[in-house]
Amino acid sequence: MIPNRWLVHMTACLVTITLVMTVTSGCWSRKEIEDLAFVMAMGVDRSPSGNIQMTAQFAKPGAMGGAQDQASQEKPFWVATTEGDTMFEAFRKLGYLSPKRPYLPHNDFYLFGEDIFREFGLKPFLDFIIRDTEPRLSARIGVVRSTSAKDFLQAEFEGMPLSSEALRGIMNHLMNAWGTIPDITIREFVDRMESEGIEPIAMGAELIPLAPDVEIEGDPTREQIKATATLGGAAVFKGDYLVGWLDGFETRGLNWILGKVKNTVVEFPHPGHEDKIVSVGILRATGKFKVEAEGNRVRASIEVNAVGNLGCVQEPVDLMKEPELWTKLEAGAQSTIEDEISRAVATLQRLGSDAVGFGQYIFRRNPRQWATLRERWDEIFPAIEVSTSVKVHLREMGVILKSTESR
Amino acid sequence: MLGRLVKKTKVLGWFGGKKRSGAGPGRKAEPSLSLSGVLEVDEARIRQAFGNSLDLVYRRIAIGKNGCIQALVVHISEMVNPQFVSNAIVERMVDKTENLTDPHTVYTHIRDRYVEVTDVTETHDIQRILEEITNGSTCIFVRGVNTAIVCQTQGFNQREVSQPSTESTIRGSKEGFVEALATNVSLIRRRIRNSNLRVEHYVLGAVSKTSVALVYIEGIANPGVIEEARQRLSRVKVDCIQESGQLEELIEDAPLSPFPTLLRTERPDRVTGNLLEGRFAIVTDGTPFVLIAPATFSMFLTAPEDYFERFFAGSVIRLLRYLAFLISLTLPALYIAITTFHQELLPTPLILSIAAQRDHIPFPAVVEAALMEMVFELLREAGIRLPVVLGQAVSIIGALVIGEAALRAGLVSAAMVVVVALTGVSSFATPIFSLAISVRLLRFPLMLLASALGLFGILVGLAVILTHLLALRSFGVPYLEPFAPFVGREQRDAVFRSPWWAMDERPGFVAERNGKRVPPGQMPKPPEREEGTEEVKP
Repeated sequence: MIPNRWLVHMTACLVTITLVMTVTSGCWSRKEIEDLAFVMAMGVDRSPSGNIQMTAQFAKPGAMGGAQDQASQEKPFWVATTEGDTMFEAFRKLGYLSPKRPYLPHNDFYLFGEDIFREFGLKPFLDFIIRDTEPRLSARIGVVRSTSAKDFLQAEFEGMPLSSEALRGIMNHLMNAWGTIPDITIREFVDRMESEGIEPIAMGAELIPLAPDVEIEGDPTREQIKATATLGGAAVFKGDYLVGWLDGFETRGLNWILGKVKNTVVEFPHPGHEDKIVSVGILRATGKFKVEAEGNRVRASIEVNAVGNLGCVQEPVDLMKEPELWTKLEAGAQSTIEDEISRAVATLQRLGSDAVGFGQYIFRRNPRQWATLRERWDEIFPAIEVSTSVKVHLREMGVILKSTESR
Repeated sequence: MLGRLVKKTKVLGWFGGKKRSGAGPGRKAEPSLSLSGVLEVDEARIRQAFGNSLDLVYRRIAIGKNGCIQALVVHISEMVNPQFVSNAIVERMVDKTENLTDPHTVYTHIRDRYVEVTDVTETHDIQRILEEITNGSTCIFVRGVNTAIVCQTQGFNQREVSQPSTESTIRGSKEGFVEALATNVSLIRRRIRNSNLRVEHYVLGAVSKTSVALVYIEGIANPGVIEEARQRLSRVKVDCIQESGQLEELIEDAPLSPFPTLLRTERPDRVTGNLLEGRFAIVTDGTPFVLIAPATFSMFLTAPEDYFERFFAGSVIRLLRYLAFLISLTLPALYIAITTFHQELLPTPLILSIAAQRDHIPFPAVVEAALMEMVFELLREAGIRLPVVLGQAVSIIGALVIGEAALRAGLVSAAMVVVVALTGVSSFATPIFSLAISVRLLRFPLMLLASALGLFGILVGLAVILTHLLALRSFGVPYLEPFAPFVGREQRDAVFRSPWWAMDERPGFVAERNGKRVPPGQMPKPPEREEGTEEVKP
């Protein structure tokens, strides 16, 4: 029975190997889930002593309320702050404060306080994020305007008690329904930073320190919300240095050019009634640009096509009787979009940061020409002549045929 | 004496004359005693052989003119149909021979005219007479004649043909095999009424003399495979065959494998379907479980219903079963690996929810999982062993103890209960229990590997299992066929079940000679209208 003996030997070998493998390895890199502290958002500021000050927002899973319990009164997150010379050190120092091992892969936000850019560029921070195995490159990057990231991470939200989840909700809503924040991850940020002819941008984040006007009732144990937070606008970088800001509509202007607006609301004056407003819901938009360089003269042409529906009018319109009004409404929307685009480009030119990627366009299509422009791009970019062509196509006017009119 | 009996002998069965034409190892000629013709001597010999057993019936009757001729009828009381023996044999022997005086004439007349039994033979070999009596035949001896008449009068208590209890279906035959070989063979024969259906008879078990039948269809089954089956059956040397599982272990290809290489079934329709694909079946007397071989992996995840329901439903449900197989094999291991090594793999809300549940659990995930799996296996085993009336009590205790109390006591997490329950339910979805058992066993080493090495460990474990499966063969047919070796045409009946009009071929590895099942082009179509004819409107 040779095959049998062979089988016995094989089995014995396999069992031995398996045992050796499992026993001697000692469960290497094993970490039980209950021993982990999940970092949900991370903030980086400059400490008063000039060091890196890292703030981690940890989830408190026990306070989130499982299926059987009712929503807990406890805050479902807590915040710990450490200081260090490097990100790595500061991160390890979280272990002084957290009884569980800080765990980064579920972290969605890296937020930097505006303060740090007085002294540092972003490179030393990014190095940790892209070098270490735990952080995810798909996390979002943002800059907190005027306050520190530490304060920002203390903010609370209604509806979603875990603030990083709430932030993600707001971020998704802004990206999908407004287009007023840049859609950018750590990976894209680093890509832009490393690439020729394009500069990085990051999400703008802002603390709203006011308590809401409404009295919070029915929840006597919970303190009134002290501060809440929101996102909006974009932080504009040059290299890894913050150089300025785009406000929400300027950011949308940039997103029009890049074709990243998905769905948004565009307002413009009512044709014929300049004091009244018409708003249009854009359903989808495409955007592209071309750059042509002749010597030092660089021209960019931007083309945006958008499709939308009539959203709301302040003055009655009757599109069945006045079909030519369609064109007027479309023209109104076009001029708003054109205005946003030119404001965005103007601001970027003033800041000297080519966040659109005009330079990259030349570099990709004509690397030799780029080589000649590259050194002088800082001078050339602010002088680029931009021509914009926007086409808006309005398709529907909602589910009513004409506006309500008082008799 | 019994020990000296020939081990592999084709004996007279109950199947009519045809079964004797089947090939098989020839009967060894052993010198044996012949009848003397003296009733007292012969009876004494039989009595000696049976050692005065309680259930032997020796009936002396006087037949012929004025009862001048002594005759002896011998049978085992509970192995024959008593009504039949008295009406068709004893009564007629007495009634019809009233005018005869010569023992030899009486003997031939009884043999050829009077006995109302279809299968009647004669013999002078005492050995053979003993065998026939144990098989339930009735032997008639006439004084002065040195041969005996052997009448096939088997009739014993047996279970009614009823629904198979281990493989139930919604649509399809409700008949299941019973413990009697003859009935089981008739259940097959009734479904394939073709003279090419071969039933070869073997007697296995030196002591028990269990009848075993090898069933196949001549012209469809691969003769090489059938020859191999004959060889393996004739190699079996045990004292007793109680159940086909015993036989399975003695003839299977890989005796140390956790995977079954013979399929066992209780359903005649599964047997017929497989016979028509060119496989063979081994029917064992005394058990309703019939073995089918060559068996491939995909057969174990196939239910007869797949073929009876519409093919969309059949395919989707079969796909579901493959999924259930994977779940029951890997889910606890995956849970352990992900919660102890790869927390980054789960979406944030899910990982936070699991973390919240595990917050107060005193055991590491692997201990928790092993504990729960063990409790589950215990409950399952207890549920099977307990008397049916107590079964409910077990399920109530199980539901309360595991589902509620352990959870409340903080011994296990709710997610773990879900994982174990899902695994359990999935393992019940495997139609053939013997595969479900091996999966149950393999789950534990996988869990161990997962707890030590994470997903890497699971991969190592699965690689070992897969390598083993790839090396397995059942009667020469690769176990993973048609996936590896990949046979494109046979994907029509592997994970998916194609409609019947598209499955026009038999599996190539099994039925080599007669590959075509039906002519192609069976797909129902509207009738083609001839040129110029009017369409008939109903």
